Amino acid sequence: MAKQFDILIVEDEQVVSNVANRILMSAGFNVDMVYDAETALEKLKQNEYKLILSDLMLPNISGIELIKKVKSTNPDILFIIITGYAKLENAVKSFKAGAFDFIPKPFDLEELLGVVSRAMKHLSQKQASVNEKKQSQTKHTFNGETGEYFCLGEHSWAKPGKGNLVTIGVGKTFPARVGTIQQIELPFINTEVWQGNMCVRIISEDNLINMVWTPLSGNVVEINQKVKKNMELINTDPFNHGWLIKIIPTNLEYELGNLSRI
Amino acid sequence: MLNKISYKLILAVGSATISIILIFSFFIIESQQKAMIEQLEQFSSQCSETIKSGTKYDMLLNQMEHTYNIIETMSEQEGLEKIRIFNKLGEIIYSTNKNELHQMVDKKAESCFACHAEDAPLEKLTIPERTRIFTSNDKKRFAIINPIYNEPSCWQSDCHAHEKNQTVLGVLDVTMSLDKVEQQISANQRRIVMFALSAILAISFLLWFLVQNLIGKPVEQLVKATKKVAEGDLEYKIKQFKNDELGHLGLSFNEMTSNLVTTQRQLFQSDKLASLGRLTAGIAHEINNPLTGVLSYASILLKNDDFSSEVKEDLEVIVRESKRCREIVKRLLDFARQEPPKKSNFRINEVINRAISILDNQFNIKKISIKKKLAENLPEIYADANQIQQVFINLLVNAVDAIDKENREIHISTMLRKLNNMDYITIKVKDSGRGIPRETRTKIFEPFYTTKGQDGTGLGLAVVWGIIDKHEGKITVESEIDKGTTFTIELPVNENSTNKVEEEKHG
Repeated sequence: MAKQFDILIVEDEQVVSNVANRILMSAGFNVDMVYDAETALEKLKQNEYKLILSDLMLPNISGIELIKKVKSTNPDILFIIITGYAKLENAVKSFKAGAFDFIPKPFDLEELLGVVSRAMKHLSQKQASVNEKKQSQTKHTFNGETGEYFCLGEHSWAKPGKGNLVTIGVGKTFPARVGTIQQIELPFINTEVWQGNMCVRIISEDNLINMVWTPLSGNVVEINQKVKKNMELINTDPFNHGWLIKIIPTNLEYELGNLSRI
Repeated sequence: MLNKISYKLILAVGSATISIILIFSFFIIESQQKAMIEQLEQFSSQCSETIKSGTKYDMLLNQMEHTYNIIETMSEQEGLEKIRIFNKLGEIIYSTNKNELHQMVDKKAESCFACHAEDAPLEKLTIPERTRIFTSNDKKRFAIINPIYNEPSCWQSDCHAHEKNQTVLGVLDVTMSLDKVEQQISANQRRIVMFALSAILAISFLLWFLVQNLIGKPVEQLVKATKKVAEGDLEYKIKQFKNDELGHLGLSFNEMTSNLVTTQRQLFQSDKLASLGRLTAGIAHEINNPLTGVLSYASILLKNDDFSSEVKEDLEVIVRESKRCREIVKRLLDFARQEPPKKSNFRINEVINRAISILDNQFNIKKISIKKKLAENLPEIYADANQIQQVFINLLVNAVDAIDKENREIHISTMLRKLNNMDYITIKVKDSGRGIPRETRTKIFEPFYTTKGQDGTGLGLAVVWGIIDKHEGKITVESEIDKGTTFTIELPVNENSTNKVEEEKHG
């Protein structure tokens, strides 16, 4: 009998899977839990899941392999990768494999719920738009020119510009999934950011924390003060006036390889 | 003891001089002896001539008594021992030694041989041919013969004692004692030997003194220094230098040890950072899971409205502190993640200017003025521009934080320097801040060492150190309390970098 679940947790570390289970259950999600990728694949044959919350480092089959395997048969299932801070580079690579987002360990309730509810909104909004108009194929609408933007999934983008400066902002769908924005926390000038690390926190109305991962490593040299005052800018014009920070990249060429160009 | 260079040298040079002096003295003694004999010969020949001519008149008159008297008187002269006259047949017709009278001389013996050998005709003989040295009664004696030739006045004389056809009428033989001469010779010998000995002593002493001062002491110092260094005292320095090869050796020794110290420190630091990197990565990975449990459960409990506000406050502390743990782990990983440099050619001055412009705001807020003294026409360096920029940002941020007084200046300078045939760019960042105490100066490059409390990560200078180390550069610090701190960076101008100064001038 095929059961329907919201979320499948694939995590070999019990304390992490238990606490994730607790948090997600308390938020009203229907959660299933396994400890390795093999069992997860078995479960997928029997049951239906909307979202898989998987660790990156699993005993035999890694998180990224799991994404590839599942996506080939069930492309609609969203993946959120759990990873330690030490493996952020791999987490970034998981975007290329098709992950929706990742969440670094250790996390708290607001952070986990932030990313999971964003994924759930993504699913429902996608479903709605599919139901509404099947013909509208354009995923992104750019005010700028295509080809200049390098994206970390649908999460954030980087645009190399004049004088070694790179502008960074969030993807079009990101703010939409967050909902009403309560606050945007930008980094200080001069801080060093690393690809896949948090550079901006967007806090939603219901106090959930949405972390924006920087698509490239570098030093922050400028922040967009306008966005702080007019937070709707990231929703209405995310690719131009809604930019977040400008950095001087430290490892541009190599890191661009982890991003997808649009 | 005998293995010392100085003793070997003294032994070698000493024995050479000793043999030279000995050979020299031997020849001097030899020639002196010869000269004295010659003198004696001359003297005796003169004596004999004097006797001959002194007695000639009496001879002609055949006044033998008179003749003998003269000879007797002359023989009393010092050194003269015996005067004899032989006739042609070899009969001693007169001798101051009366016992010998009328005896025959052995013609084959004594100096007769010179004339009588193989019945050769009588000829005029040279002085040495007429002399002989012989020993009798354990005494060395010297004798000279003087043939008395026939002259017209001899055979024309009234006595008619001699025929006209005789060539040689007889021989005057003068014997002299060699005692005095021998004494003189041995005195001379003694004097020369004394001189030779004192010369040898003096030379040996001089040699010992010179070798000891020029070689012995410097070598001893070098040996002592190498031993000290071998024992691990790398700070040991040779203090006195002479202006010679050994002095240069001492200088290079000092240079070598100080280089050794820097290299050792750098190696130690690199090693420490590398193992620290591995350790942190491992720990961070392991600590993430338990920390997730703590942080997440605490945040779940915080949502539970059954708890009193007191409990909630406590829970908030747990959440806050475990988030702080998370930040620490993150910082550790940022530090451990330092990547290998991605090198390209660039101008150091441009990077410095960029770093300054990034921090411009901070300088303005804190009212700090930047004094630049950047050398023009520096060659490009081959390095990771972003990492080098990070170095200057970190150093400048530290400089800003260190300044707390009236004089609010940061000096930054670049210059080209040649070291061991390699080009280096020297960059100095000097602040007028509070300075670093001597005891903490060695710790500043260690990760997590900070004086800024909660505001600092303690990684700024560790990162600087790591970057400079990966670029095969060097960073040193000089500091004076309340005067300020100077960081000096030496970056090699690598082969890959090409000097485009010329190009630019023309372009």
